[in-house]
Amino acid sequence: MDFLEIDSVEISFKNKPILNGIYLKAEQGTVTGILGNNGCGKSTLLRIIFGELQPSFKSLRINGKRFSKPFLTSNEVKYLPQFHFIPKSMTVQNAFYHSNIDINNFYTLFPELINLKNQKFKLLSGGEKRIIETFLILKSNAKFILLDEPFSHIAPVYINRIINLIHKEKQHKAIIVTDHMHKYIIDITDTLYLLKDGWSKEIKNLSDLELYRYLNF
Amino acid sequence: MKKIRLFLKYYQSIAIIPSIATLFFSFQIKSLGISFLIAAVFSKLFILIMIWFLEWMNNRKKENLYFYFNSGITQIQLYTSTFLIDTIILFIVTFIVLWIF
Repeated sequence: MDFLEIDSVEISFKNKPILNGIYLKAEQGTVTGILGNNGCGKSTLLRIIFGELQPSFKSLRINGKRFSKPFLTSNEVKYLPQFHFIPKSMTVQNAFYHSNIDINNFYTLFPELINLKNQKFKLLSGGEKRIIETFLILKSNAKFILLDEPFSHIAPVYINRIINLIHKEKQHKAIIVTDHMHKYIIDITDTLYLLKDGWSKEIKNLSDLELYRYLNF
Repeated sequence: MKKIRLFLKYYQSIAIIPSIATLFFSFQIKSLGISFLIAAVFSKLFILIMIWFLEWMNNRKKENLYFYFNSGITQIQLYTSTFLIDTIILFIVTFIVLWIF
C-alpha cells in the first residue's frame, strides 16, 4: 500500500505564518479529508504537496522515503485546483485525449453531457467544467489525487455520482479532498483532519469539530 | 508527441504578439542583414519575458498553467519550450522572407 506523509511545513505570506504544525498522512485505499475555515491554508497545503508552491521547509515522504523534487514532475500526483484549469480554447474531446482517458467512460457516468464532446471549455457552464475536471483528475493513473473543492457549483445529483466515483477510484489511489460542503467530506472520508491556526488535528470524533469551533451542531 | 502538442497549445495561447514581432524582425533582417538575427533572437526573448511578467502580474495563482502541471510539465520546461518554438518560427519565417522577397 502506497502512502504519503507531510509534516514540518513552514510557510508564511507577508510575515503572517500560514502553516507551521502540520502532519498529514494519506494512504492508498482511503480518502483523507481536510476541513478548515476560509484562509486557514487548505489550498496552500495541497499546492505544497503538489510541488507548485515551495515553502521555507517541508518534509514530504512517499512510502517513508523523503521526496525533495517537485512532486508534479513524477506524474504520480494530480491536483484539482479550486479554479477551472483546462485551457478555455481546448475542446472537451481534446482534454480527454491529452489526459489519456477514454471519453466514453465519462459518458457512461454522465450520459446527459454527451453533447459537450466538441464544445470548447469557454462555452461550458461552471458546473459542467467542474464535473469534467474532477472526472479527469480522478480517473488519471496517478497514485495520489488532490481535490480542492470538487463539489462547488455541482448539482446534488452529480455530486452523488462523483462520490461514487471517489469510492471506486480510492481502491488503487490515495485521495486527499477538501471542500466547504463539510457534510459530503465527513461522509466520504476515512481519515479527517482539521486545519486551524497553522496546525492540523486529526478528528477522531465529530464533536471535536465543535470543540475546535469549526461547526455548531 | 503529446507533450510537444501541449507545448504548441501553450505557445498558441500567447502567440499574437510574438507572431507580429517575428514578421517585423524578419523584414528587418532582410534590410539590415543576417547579423541582425542574433539581436532579433534576444529581442524576442525580451518580449516573451515581458509577456510572462504581465501574465504573472494578472494571474499570480498561475491558473492557466495547472493543465500543464497536471501533465507533468514544469513552468521552466513550458517557458523554455516556448522560447525554442518561437526561435524556430523566427528562423523559418526569416528564411521564407529572404527567399521570396
